[in-house]
Amino acid sequence: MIQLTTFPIDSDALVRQAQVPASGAVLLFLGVTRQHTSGRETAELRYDAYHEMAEKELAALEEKARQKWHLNECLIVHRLGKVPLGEASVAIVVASPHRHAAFAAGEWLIDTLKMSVPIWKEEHWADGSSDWIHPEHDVKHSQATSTNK
Amino acid sequence: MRVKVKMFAAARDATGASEVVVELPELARVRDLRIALESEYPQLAPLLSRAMFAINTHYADEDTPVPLAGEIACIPPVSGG
Repeated sequence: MIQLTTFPIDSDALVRQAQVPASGAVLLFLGVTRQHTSGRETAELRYDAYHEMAEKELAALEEKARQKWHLNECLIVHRLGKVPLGEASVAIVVASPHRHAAFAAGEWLIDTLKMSVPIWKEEHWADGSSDWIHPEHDVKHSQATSTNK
Repeated sequence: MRVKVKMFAAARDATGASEVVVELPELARVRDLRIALESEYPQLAPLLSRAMFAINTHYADEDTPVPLAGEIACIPPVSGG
């Protein structure tokens, strides 16, 4: 299941959904608005997305992860709009029979999401200025979508 | 041919619009679109050199033909998560 939302992410509900007897391992990753980045203080983050493409890319990530690992559950939720300090902008929950698959899938999902899903963060600094963040990496095709053309 | 291109994040700020219209030669490919945008919006150049393009919500290559009708988007380096 993938979702884009402007509301706070209920990570407890996601974990409850994933916690079933078939899964010996349930892993939760939260990406949280951090107060300090390279010595600068953040007031809040704002996220924007190319909504329909972001949904397709997230769905492709879920599909790819389910092909690569034995997952009983794979939940990816990304928040858009304002995300205050200490709140989650992204939540990933994966559940699998054994922990190695869950750890590997969780790390791959967040790393790949950050490279390929058309979502952008705008840092609103405590001094009142703001910057869109465009990291020095090439946008990567997720293989699941590039074979879809 | 004239095509509409969606703009996001710093690219939207640089062009002042969430969608811009550019004139392209017939049978243009993504690389031609990049050149046309750069000449129309010089302030976009630093970001354009690092941006991808999407056609109908799929990442395109430099050789991908730009369709007459279809959704075209400029995708500057992403920063979700």
